[in-house]
Amino acid sequence: MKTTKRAWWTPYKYAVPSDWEHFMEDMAAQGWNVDKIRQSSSFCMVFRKTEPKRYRYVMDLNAFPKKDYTATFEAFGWELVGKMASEYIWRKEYEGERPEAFSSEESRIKRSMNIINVLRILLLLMLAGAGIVTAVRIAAPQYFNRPEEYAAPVVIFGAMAVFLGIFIGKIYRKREY
Amino acid sequence: MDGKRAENRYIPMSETMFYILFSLRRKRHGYGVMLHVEERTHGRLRIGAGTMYQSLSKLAGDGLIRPAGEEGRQKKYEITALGETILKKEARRLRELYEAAEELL
Repeated sequence: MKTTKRAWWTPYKYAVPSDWEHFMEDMAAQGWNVDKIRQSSSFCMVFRKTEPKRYRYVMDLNAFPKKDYTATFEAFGWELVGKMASEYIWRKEYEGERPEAFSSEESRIKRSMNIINVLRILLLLMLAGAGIVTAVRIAAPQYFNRPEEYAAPVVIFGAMAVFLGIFIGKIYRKREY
Repeated sequence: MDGKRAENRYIPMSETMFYILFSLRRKRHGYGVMLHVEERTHGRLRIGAGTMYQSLSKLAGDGLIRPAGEEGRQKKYEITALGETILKKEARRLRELYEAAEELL
């Protein structure tokens, strides 16, 4: 019997935090759990076979947590499973009503907007990258010997910008969840 | 933050914010505030950890509450004079609403 299972690119597959949380909770209910989440979990999540668990997962982006950030969550009974970049992953085992870390709509929207704001900065960087390459192409065409030398970076920056735009749209549409 | 800006930002106030400020008339940490609010509202309002952390950070950043020591790893907070002023203004607004509602019934 298989005792481990791998899931790839889950934070990208489930861009909306609440979708990712539901995915993790469904896995836990089927008896697939993670011991620790680390940076590498963003592309490969390793689940271990356990008893089925009722976990509530919470993803919270906090780039500059204050000293009492983890203490506050822990006092409320949340376990820090780990971090992916600045995304803190919390979970709590429960019976009965599914617990909420973000109990007001205002705070859920703020949580989503924190992620959207980071993605917006990345989107602007991608657009700036494409713009800079285009500006250099116009101002100093001698640096580009073949058309693909210009097209490749512009296509890469453009594709990244499109992906980021799609993520922003998905998160924004479900920002209050 | 000056009084006028705080008023524009916080009034009308969400129920969560109102009860957090109300609770911080005594020094409390986030978990203590949650317990107090839950008791005060007979279990109806249970503030989550993320909402509490966000709210305390916002209120402290705007000068409506201030740090008041630590208990273990948790920071305690208490309301400031500005916080009291805003809380009382909101209470007066709520009383006005209550009186209007009373007139209707």
